[in-house]
Amino acid sequence: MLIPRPLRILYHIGLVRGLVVGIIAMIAGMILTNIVRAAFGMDTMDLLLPLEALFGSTVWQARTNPDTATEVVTGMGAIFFTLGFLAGVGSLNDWFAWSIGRKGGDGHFHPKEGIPTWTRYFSFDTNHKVVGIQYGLTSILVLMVGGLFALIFRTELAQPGLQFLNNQQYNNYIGIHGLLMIAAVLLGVGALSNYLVPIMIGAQDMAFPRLNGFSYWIGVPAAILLLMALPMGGFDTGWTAYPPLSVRAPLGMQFVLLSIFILGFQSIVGSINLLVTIFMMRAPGMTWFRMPIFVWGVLAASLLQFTATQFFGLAFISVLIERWVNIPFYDPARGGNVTLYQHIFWFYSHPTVYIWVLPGLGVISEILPVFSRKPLFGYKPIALSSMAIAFMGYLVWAHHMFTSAMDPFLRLPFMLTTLTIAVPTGIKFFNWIGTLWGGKIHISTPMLFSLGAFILFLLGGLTGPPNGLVVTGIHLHDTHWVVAHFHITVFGGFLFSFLSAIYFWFPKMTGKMFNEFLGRVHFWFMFGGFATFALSLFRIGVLGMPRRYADYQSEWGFGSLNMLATIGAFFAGGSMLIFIFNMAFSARYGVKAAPNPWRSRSLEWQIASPVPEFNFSAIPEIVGHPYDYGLPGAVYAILSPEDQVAPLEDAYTPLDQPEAIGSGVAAVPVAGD
Amino acid sequence: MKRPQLMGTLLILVSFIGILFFLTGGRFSFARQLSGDDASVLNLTGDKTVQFILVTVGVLGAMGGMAAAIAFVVWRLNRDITQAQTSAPEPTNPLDYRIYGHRAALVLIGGITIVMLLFCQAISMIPGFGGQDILPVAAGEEAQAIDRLFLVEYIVMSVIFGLVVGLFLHSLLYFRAAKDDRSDGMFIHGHNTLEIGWTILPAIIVTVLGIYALIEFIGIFKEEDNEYVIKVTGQQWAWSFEYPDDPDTEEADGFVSTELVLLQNQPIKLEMNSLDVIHSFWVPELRIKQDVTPGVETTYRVTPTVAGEYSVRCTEICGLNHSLMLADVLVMDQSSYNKWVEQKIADLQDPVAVGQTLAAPCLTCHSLDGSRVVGPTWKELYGSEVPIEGEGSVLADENYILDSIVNPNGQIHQGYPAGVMPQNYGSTFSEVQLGQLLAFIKSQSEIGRQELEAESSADEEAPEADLQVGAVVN
Amino acid sequence: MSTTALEPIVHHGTVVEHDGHHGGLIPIAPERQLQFNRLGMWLFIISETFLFAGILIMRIVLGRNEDGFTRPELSQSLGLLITSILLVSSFFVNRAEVAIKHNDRFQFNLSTFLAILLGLIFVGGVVYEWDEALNHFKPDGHIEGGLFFFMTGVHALHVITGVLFLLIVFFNGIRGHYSSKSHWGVESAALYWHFVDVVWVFFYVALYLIGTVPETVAH
Repeated sequence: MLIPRPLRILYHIGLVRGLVVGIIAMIAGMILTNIVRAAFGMDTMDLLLPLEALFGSTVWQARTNPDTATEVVTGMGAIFFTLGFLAGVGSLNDWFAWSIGRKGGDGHFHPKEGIPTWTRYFSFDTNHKVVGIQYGLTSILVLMVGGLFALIFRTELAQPGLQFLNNQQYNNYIGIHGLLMIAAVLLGVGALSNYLVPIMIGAQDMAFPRLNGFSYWIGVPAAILLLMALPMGGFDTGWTAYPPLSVRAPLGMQFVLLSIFILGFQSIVGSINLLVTIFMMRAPGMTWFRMPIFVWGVLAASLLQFTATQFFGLAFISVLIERWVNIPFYDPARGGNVTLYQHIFWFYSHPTVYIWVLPGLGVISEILPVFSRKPLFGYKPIALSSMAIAFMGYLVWAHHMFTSAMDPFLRLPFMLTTLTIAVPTGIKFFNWIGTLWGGKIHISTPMLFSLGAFILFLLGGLTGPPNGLVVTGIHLHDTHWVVAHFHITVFGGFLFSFLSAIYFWFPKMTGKMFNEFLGRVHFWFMFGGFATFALSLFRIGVLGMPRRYADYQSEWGFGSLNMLATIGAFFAGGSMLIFIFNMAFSARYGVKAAPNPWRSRSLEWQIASPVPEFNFSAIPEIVGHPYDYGLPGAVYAILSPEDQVAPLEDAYTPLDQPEAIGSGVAAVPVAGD
Repeated sequence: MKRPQLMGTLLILVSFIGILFFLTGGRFSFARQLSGDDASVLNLTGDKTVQFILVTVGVLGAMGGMAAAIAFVVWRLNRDITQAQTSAPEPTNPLDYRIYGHRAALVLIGGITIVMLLFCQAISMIPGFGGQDILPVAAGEEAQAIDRLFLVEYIVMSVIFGLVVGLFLHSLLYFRAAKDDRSDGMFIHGHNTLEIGWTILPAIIVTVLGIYALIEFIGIFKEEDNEYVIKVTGQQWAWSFEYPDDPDTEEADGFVSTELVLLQNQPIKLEMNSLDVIHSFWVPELRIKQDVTPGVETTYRVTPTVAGEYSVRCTEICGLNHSLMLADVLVMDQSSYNKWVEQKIADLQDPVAVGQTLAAPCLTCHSLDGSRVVGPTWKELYGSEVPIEGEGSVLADENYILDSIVNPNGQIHQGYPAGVMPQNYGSTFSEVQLGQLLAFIKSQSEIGRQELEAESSADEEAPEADLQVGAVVN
Repeated sequence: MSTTALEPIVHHGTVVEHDGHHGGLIPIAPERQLQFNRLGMWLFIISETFLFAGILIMRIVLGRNEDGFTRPELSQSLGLLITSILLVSSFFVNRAEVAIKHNDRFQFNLSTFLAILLGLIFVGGVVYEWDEALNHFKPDGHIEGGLFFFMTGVHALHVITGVLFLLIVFFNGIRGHYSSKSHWGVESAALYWHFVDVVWVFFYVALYLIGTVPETVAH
């Protein structure tokens, strides 16, 4: 009671506690490592040196040319920081309690006297909606930081000749941009999955709520370590970190390796949670093919995540071990093999792009039926195509290695597997056209973003075969064609779908409606700016501009298109500011939204907005298919009267609508299909 | 004829796309005509302004005429059909164009036209932005084969994009609901035949493409009979090329060059190695790209056909000066090539010239003009007093220079960072090569040049000179 | 479009006793929670399998020369000994699990204790093995040596976490926390321990049993 209120609130903010405990643990860990090293007769790190460098009195040479002691001690500091942070934030409390035989909490939120509820979002919380929003806000923050770096080096690239960056800074910025964006995408996928899946399947929370909270919070030290990479010396390898360059890279490389390793835990733990939830917690009557299509996308992505991510960790840890202990995995003089790294790395990094886009494509599949008032055309083929893409995604990794030192013969089988992946992806597009055709299409901001995602992902998919067909691919590899290709597929498959999802579910999350005009402005600027950027890059890539080039010769003639691309990038980046303003402003001052403003049949739109703490007071019963728009009297789910807040006629086609053209189905509601 | 409009639409659509491609991509490259270069089909007058007007009027006129023709056909068909029916029955099938015919066809065509124009122009060329073609000039045999596949890909991409986006835009425009319309669309949740169709057709397309690519693949990578082998060494951050001894002569006359000079129409095999990290060898005009890896030798086969000056660029990030790791590639005809080879062999007698070639990777960090880059400049270095960290100053004599190359962290030049220069040059260069590097560094200072003069005049008097010039990079 | 046109049949789904106020949490039955836990644990094991498979692939690719597989110079008897120790500890872990299923507390406590002891001896054996190995080859020498330290090191980390897990189970077991009906902690610790054991069998074969010691290995 004598502690002033601001301090009490700070104490209850998990993030604050985590940082404090983390820093203490980090210092303790570094001292401990020094002691252990000295005991074994190894050299130690001068711990005061970074402090002196911080206050400018000395140059900390070891950042660009680390000796083993500095590397190991700072690395252990990072690991201790992570453990301390996790303990401090409170994500380990119940597990600690169980390990000593105590009962622990009940795993759910209990408001505390005098502590405002917004602190929930900065603390360890087990509610999947809070965790989802935590993931989402972190994703957008990381996205903006990564985007800022991109705009910096895009400005440098707009004209030939180095204007304000030197080669080292450029290499650092492209590398950190790539990693920050990958982190943002994984966080965004986590945001959508966490928030939506339990409600969509009629559950009250995930299968392991405490593990869910933990999986978010382990990502935060990972993000912090990633941001530390640049101040700690940077790295000149790009995000792919190929050895031998990554083994010799400055100290910043180590922070990247550790950060991504820790982020891998988030992926694996989070996807296991989602898989158990989807397998075991669907509402009664919800057979596999009555699940919302988004859940299929998450299912496919999660199957990839919990298996392939281990290889990402293995690749990075092996480089770290080579840096620490000098085990020559990738030193040919002592029996190492440089190409092995590429195999291990891409064995994860190809499936990961499907982790990024499968949920996003699921979002498009969700949104098109709602705004066409028509069933999702070919629901089963779309669902199965997600699974097919996930499976085939494992078979194509060496198409990133066509020019590597691997046996040239291997290029052929990987070319063939890469081409066949186009087939299930194409199925999705044709079915989306089938959804639109013959519908009653309403344009709104979420619909615009989904349509934009469609176009961009289509272009992205079509620019794939020139890469996958080895003969043309060897011209395009490591040029800006590839850069444009992966930007356009990720913008289409993830970013535009993610934005579409945020706009779509915004009224459900906040109970308020966003500003439609600002939403449309955001869309057109973003789409136009990004299309300009990407199409320019396709062009210069084919003409011969390699990627990761800080500068290009002016006689190559790429200046005007680079300028155009930079302008487009600024438009796209600027439009995101409009988005953030719209979201923040509307969440606070927006118009109150109806519970089902889009008139969707899905479960989450029948309950109140914002969603109640435990979603449903009684588990709903599923009696029909989710996308039977246009079938009079067809019912999807039966909820208890307290839960069914939205009027039924908002979602369901009433009995007295004229029979749908071509349906030939008698309009009688059937309970239990 | 059950669905005349639909079939007609599809036929017109395909021909339209073909024409658009033709205009913007293929032989009749739109902008090539506009820019009036020698290869232009319409280069009748030689006057660029007239050329521009001719082409623009011609193309727009052709497109306008085509649009008019289509509109007329559609109007006629529609008039015939609506006259045949007094009352239009309720359509029972969404693909039945009896009622929606003309609007759908026009929207479809219009949408596709706009989309294709945008796509083709963006991916192809925009007059005013350099007037280049889609691809750089195809300077090799393989490049020509690769370009054929690019063409096929471009056509397939354009057609699929046009079709899908056309249907997409048509749906959006035609099936747009009124603002307050709360009714639902048609209850159609699938169509098995369509699903099978649009699974099998793409599978066939990718299989055909794959087979075509396979055939080209075998042709491009196969071993030729009379290949000329050149060893390529990539290192941070420069290329060096080692030409083998001439098998017809008995002397050791292989040499190292910093530029890759190739004989036109001669099949070349490059055997590539890296001294440090992974690099990648790419000449856009030759199309083929191959990584250069430490520990594993990689092979690159090419037959250049078009004489000219190109550049090889490193395409695997290799650290600080990745974007500066360039080298000239010169494809020459027989007589120029012979002259060049003779010159290089003559240069073998001159250690300074050889040293200059060997020193190419060093120049990314050591300048020759006195400016400070990363390491100390070589201008006026030899013979000067050099301040050393913690030791006062020393004379930069031969021992100092040689020591600085093989053991860079032994004595640190004051004010320069330690631990940046690679430490493996001792094993990279042979004794002889170190001598040649030394000669080159000497030649950058007045004192050094005088010494070299004195040495060479002494050599002229002693014909059994000790200058061994086998230039083999290990 | 009237509201009376659609009157779905409403019935309350699976409502269990909840704490009265609107929108409470429906508790999950223990059998259901056990199903969740089992699936989650198995998914985790599958995930870890990918990690160890990747490491095995590294060993297969890197530990060879023109004549075939190579392996570092190791003491076969020591390797066999520590492998047996680990296998026996797995036996005791299984025994502990069976014991608690039959509520035999003494057997459960004893078996868990023995398993922990053997596990610690295994770790000690690895440390001793490393000491021995350092006389013959170094981690920064040729890659077979490095791989040995890497693989046994990663595995030993997992053994240590397994031992910690078993210690928690042991101490909670002494205090009477488990019963024949509810002993998920024991089951999961046992599963993890068996997994670690199976991994070791593969690693043992890969490091000790296949390949020949190369003659001129840089030390």
